[in-house]
Amino acid sequence: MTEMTIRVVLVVGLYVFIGNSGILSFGHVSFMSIGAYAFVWISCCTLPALKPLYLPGLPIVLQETALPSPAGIAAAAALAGGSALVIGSILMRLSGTAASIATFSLLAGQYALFRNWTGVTGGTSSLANVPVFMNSAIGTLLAIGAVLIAWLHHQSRYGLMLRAARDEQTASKASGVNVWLVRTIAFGLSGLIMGVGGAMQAGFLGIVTVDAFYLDVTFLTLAMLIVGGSGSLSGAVVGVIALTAVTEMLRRFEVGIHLGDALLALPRGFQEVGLGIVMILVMIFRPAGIMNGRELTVGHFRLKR
Amino acid sequence: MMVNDILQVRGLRLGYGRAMVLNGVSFEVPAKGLIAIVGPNGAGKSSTLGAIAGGNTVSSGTIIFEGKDITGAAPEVIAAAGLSFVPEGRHVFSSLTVEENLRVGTFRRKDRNAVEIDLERVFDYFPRLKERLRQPGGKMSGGEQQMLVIGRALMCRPRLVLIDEPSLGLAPRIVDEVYDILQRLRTEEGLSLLVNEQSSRRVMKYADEIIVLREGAVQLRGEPSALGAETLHDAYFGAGTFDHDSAGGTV
Repeated sequence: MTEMTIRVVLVVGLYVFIGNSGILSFGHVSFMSIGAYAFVWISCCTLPALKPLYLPGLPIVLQETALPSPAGIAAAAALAGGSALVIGSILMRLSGTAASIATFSLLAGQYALFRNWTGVTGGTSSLANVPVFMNSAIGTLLAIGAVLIAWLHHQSRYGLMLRAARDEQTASKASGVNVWLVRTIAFGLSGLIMGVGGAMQAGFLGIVTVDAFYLDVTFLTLAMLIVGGSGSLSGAVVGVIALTAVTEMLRRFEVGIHLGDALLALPRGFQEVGLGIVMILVMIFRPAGIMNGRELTVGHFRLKR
Repeated sequence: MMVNDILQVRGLRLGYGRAMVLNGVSFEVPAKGLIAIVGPNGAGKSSTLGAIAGGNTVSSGTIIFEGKDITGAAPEVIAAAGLSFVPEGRHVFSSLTVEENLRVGTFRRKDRNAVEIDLERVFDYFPRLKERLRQPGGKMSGGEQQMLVIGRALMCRPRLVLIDEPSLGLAPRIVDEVYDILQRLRTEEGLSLLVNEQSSRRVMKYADEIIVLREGAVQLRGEPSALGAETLHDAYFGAGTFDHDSAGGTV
């Protein structure tokens, strides 16, 4: 459950950029990583004496700080959002496939940097003793916050102009839309949400390691977004719930069910295979995802733009 | 060159890669006028409009809009300056509703209250759009989409609108409807228009001046009434191809 709230934050973060702009990004997990490390830099550790040992390259001030978790989350949001804004302003000069590939190189570059910046990130070793603040209530609260931010962005003029540029780039420019600007704003905002997701992950496991923020989580979150339907915010949330339910079910089958004396169990590794099969089925029967671009609506809310 | 020209295009040259598409095109659009550029496929009609609207990079030449040089300015800047462009093929934002489509063009405007008035005015010209307010733009018929993109262009409060092939793929009755509305916009709103068409037949009735473009150069220009079928045909297809027997004045 708590894990699911983290995924909701991550996938909603992806949706803000990918869903509205139509540009696939492989690089957003970088901002999750930046968020997790920002949380460590500000809020680690439960045993303050450990920090200078772990991270001798940090500025002395940071080595001696261990602020409460909310400060760490805020730092994660600020640093991830800020770096996403700067990086986005460069990458968003590209469009289409070129932009997608550029985001992938961003992920690879950020991963290599954090892996080798041993003094500041601990390099390949994992950082334990990170304060654990997550529980299902806090997770749900943050997830609702992320959904709310994404919804406000979706309803705002910046979300609307972004979707106009996704549908018809030439025509949107002719209507006075600054495509680069609206894309950069969305990139920054989605990076900010991803950063919070990273801090949540760190504050859930109590351990941070660079390898936790690479291809596995990139593809899992993208799969959730696509299965749910990248065309709507509801799709992002539904995708997380659906794929989490499927993996959880398959995991239980892998452990096995006792029927009398017999133990019925699926072979190990079936979890991944089963997930692949579910994705193929969804793509065949609902190519635009489970939600097919529609939103679940409660009444009819509209914002004045 | 007249003082009351809203647009002046001088010696426009433009190429894609090494292939030159426009070899020095010059013309002007008078204020409140309707000028039609006609010509066969590949003549450079769309490239000309694209260059004026800022989407195509110009190799040389100048484009002056309301006395200001806008050559090389970004499309969104030109749109904000009062020159709207309706690209070929009805580029509606297919996932946005009709209302959202219309509002996209207004976000650069500071006069928020006037936007609502303009919205009503667009509905006044295109009543069908009001009936389809909440419908996604992509789910409308071709004619409705054409009306939507023209309506969207009007929401930027332009003084000059460029329309690339307004009649493309539309039933003749709808084409007449679209042109009647454009005519009303000229007389009632004082709008200036520059349109591209493949066929001159349709615009003969409405245009103040026809410009025949072929192979990236202006072949002929003049008032529709002053252009004979033969001169028009020769300009369009090249000299000496006019067939007197079939009196082929149907370009």
